[in-house]
Amino acid sequence: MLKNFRLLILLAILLLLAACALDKGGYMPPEQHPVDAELPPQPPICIDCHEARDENFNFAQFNHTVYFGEDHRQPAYRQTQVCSMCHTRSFCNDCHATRVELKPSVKDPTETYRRMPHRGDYLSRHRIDARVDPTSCFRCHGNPKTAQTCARCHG
Amino acid sequence: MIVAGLLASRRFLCPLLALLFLLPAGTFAMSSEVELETMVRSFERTIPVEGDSRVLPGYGYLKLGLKDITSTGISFHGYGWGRYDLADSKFYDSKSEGELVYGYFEYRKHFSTLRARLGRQHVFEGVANETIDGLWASGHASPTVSLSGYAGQPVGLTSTNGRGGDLIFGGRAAYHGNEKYDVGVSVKFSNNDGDTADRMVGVDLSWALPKDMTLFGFSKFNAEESGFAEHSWELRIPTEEFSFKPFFRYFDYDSYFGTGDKAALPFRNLANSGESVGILGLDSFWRKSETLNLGAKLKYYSYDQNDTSQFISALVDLIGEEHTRTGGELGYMRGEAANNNYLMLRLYTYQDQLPEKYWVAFVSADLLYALYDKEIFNKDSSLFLSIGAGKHFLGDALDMKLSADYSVDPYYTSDLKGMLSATYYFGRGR
Repeated sequence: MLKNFRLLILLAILLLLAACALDKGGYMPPEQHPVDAELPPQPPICIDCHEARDENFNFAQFNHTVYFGEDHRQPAYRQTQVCSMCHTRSFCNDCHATRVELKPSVKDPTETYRRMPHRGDYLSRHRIDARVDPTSCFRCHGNPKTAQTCARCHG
Repeated sequence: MIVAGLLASRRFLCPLLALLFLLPAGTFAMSSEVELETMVRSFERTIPVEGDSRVLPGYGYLKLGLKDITSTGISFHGYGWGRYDLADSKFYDSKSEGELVYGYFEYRKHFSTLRARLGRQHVFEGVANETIDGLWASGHASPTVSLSGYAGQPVGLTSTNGRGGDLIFGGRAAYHGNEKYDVGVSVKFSNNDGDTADRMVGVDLSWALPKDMTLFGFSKFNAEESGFAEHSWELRIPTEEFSFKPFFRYFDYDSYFGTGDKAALPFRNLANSGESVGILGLDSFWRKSETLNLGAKLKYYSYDQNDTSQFISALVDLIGEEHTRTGGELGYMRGEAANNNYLMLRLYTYQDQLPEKYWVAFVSADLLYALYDKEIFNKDSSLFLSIGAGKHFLGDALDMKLSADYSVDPYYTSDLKGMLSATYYFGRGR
């Protein structure tokens, strides 16, 4: 325990030193989407206002089409700071969290305009989906704490 | 009662509330975001020994954001939930429960790429998709090279023998080449109770091709199992009206699920199955007009040992003012690998900005019907219905929502659930 703690402190100090040394420019998107360019209430299609891409940024990959809710993994992996230009962390963490008792479609049942995972009676459908592609379950339920949902039946 | 329950949900709420109320009022006035959501659900469950029992869980979600606490760019972000069963049923293992989802201080250097976070946070980059208690930092070593790293304790492993010997660290280095491509290399090491959990190495690619197309790739190598766990590659083809995404994914079960001491049931057994799955697919989207969207999905699953499976679906989405949407989706899973098929239909509507004569600001409805080829617990279908309504008060500072769900499915003969929620946004409205 003590050994791990010392290692953590050492890693933290190294990280901080490295971070301070890393301040050599490069493109960073703004903290928030400019307020004078008002976003529509509907999920935005970025290329309505922007070119598909410019020298700094590939806008087209963040088009919020109807499938974006289940399709944002690849762009978000690389640039989570783009997500946080419009979304607070809690919006993301209603799904991407180590433990939430209410699945998103139960927490916000009236938001039927959003394609949320596990809507309705997913308990029955998961028997089939999980056998067809168990990797899709593991991405979110893949550690002992998040798998507590599964453990009730699966031991 | 709910407040008592939230307080009983220990760990997270008291420090957050203390921070909230101890800070000077002026700090809030300058730059703060506080959101409190409470909800009460009601449903009935058959509980062993107790029999049919009413369950009345009350939930509280608190979100707190304090920006620019100091002039040097430090901010605090917190979010957590608590639950208390008002009916005192035996449905839950514990009458009260709660979790700090995140709570961290963030440093952003102005006009710089330098950023650091300290506390509980979700790290989502490269091979990392983990909540940690620790430090994360990132910056640019040059205009074309960015680096990030993290170290701490993995929150997902706390449920197995506590936190002793739990450790996680990793990072990502990326090269941004002349506006055309990004190449990243990421690593993740984690231990659970002193034993190896994850040893993952990943490479990712984003390549801007002609005609605004982009190729995305991600491959993950399990160094402990000495094998590739995942390959996920996709081509995004956007045009003014259409977008297409052909993709290929491959997962080797032994390397993907073989995460040592971290592996949890029911996935642990898959780690020794010798199975693998390859998924070929196509997502397509047609924005026919500003008010009409059409979409379709195709997936073909092939396995090393199992039979193949296929999935196809199509949807229609009509868009109105504000959040108004109406649509439907029809899908069919030919789950040969699962020895069962299902047909799924979803119809939904959300009517926003209703005239004042209706008293509510919006109404919503959702219908989901699934038909199974082979019966599940002697039933061959599921029906789920949900209706809801809501109204904004105090100049949009308070949202009230009421909803009811009804389900007839293989698990429940007749299941009726209700929920009332109230969300208060501090500082909004009057």
